[in-house]
Amino acid sequence: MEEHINWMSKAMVYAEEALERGEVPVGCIFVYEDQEIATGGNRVNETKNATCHAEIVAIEKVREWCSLRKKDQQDVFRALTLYVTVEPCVMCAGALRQIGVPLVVYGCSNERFGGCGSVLNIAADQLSSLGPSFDVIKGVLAEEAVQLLKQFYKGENPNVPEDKRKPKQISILNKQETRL
Amino acid sequence: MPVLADIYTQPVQLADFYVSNITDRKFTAALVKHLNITAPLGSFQHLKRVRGDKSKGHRDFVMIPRDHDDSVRESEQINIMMTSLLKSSDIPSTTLSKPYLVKVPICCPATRAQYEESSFYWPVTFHEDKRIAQMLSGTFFSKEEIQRIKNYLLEAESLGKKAAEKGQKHYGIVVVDPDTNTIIAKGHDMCRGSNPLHHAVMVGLDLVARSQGGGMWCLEEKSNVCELTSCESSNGQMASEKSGPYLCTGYDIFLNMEPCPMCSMALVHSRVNRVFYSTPHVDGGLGSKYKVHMQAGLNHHFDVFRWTGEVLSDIRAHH
Ligand SMILES: [Zn+2]
Ligand SMILES: [Zn+2]
Repeated sequence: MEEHINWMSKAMVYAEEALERGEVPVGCIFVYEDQEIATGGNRVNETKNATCHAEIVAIEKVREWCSLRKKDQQDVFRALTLYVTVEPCVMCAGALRQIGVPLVVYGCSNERFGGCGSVLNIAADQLSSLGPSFDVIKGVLAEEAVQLLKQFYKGENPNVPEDKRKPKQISILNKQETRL
Repeated sequence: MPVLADIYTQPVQLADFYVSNITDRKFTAALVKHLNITAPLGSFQHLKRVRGDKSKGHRDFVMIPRDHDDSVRESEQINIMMTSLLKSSDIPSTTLSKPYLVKVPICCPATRAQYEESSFYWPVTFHEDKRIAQMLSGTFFSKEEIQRIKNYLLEAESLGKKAAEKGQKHYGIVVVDPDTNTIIAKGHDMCRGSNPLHHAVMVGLDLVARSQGGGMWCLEEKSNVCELTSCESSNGQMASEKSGPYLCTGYDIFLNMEPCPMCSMALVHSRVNRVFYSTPHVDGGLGSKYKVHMQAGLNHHFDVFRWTGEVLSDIRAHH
C-alpha cells in the first residue's frame, strides 16, 4: 500500500501541472519493472482534442519509451501498472484494456464517466474483442484528487463557450463538467 | 433506425396490484381523494385509479402494490390493508369489495406501442414524445436526408475498404457539418500500425482537432496507411485559423461499423451532434453491448441511428 501511495503522489504532481495549464486536473504515471517510464496530464484544451486525457497522453509516451529502447511495446504494455489520480473514464478504460495493461490503481471515482465500475465496468465486463480484463485498486489518495478537482471547478474552463458554461459549482463530483 | 434507450424499446413489465370493486359509485370521488392520501401510488403515478367496466356495470379501484413479504399471509395482509385504507374517513368500509390481484404496468409508457400494450392491463396516462414518435415511425428523415446519409455511410465504407487493403481493420469514418453539408474530416482505422489506439473514430476526431489548429497524434508519419482529409481541402485557411466549433459540437459522424466502447465515449467527450453507423458490433458501445450515448449522468447526449436499409458494407456483422 505504501508503494501505491508513493507512486500516486508522483502522479498527483502531473494532475497539479494540468491544473496550472487550465486543464482538468488528472495526472498519471506508468510503472514498469519498478520504474516510472511515462507520465501524462490532461491536454484537452491544448490539443482541441477531447480524447487527449492523461492516460492517452501517457500511453503515447510509453510507446516512445519502447521505440527508443527497441523494446516490444506489447510486452511492455502487459507488464505495466497505471497510477492515475481519478478513475479512468469509459474511453480510457477501453484504451487500457486494448493495450493489455493488467493493473490500474486510481484515486477518486469518476461518477459521470468512470469506466471501472462507476458508470460502466469496462475493466471487468465480458468484451472479447477489447482484450483482457484488468484489475483495479481504488481510493489511493482519493481526497487529494478530489481537492484538485474542486479547485478546478471553482474556476471556469475558459474553452467552454459562454452558453455552455454552468453556474459556478462548489459541490463538484456530481458536476464534473467536461472531460475526465 | 434510431438506437434509443431501453425504455423506448422494452416490452411492458408488470407488477401485482390489489384492486377492489366500488360497490357504491357515489363514493368514487371521495375514495380517490382519500386513497391518494392513505395509499399514494408512488412510482405508479401513471396508473389511473379507477377503471370503469361498462359491460359489467361496475368500477374497479386500484389500491396498493402487493407486498412480496412472504412472512405475512395473504389474507392477513388484505385485512390490515382494508382497515387502514379507509381509516378516519366517512366512507363506509362496505364501499370496497374484497380485494383481488391484477397485473399492472410498472412503467409509464414511453411510446404509443407501449401505451396500447399497457392499456390492455390497466388504464394508464400517456404523454407522447413527438420527436421519439417520429423516429419510431420512420418519418423522421426526408427522402433527401436518407439519400445523403446513405452516401456518407458509403463513403465511410469505401474508406474502410481502403484500410482493409492496407492491412488495417475495415473501419472508416466521415465527419460532416450538416449545416453546410460539407465533409470536415475523413479517416480510417490504423490500429495495426504502430499505435493500437488508432481506431477510425480516434483518428477522425484528431483530424477534426487538427482542422481547428490542434491535434495530438503525428498521423502524417503514417500517411501511407491513412487516407487523410482534414478540412483544408474544403476551406484552405481553416487549418491555420483555429476556427471551427468547440470540439465537434454540431458535427455528424458516419461510420460503417458500430464503435467500440472506447470510441463511443470519445464521441461523447467530443460532443458530436449525431452518429450514424451501418453494421452493428457485438461489443459495440452505441446499441449492441452498451448504449454509452444514453448513460444517465453524462453532460452530453446525442442521437444514434443504425442503418437498416439495404446492406452498405462488406464487413460481416459481428454478432
Ligand atoms: Zn479518460
Ligand atoms: Zn474503437
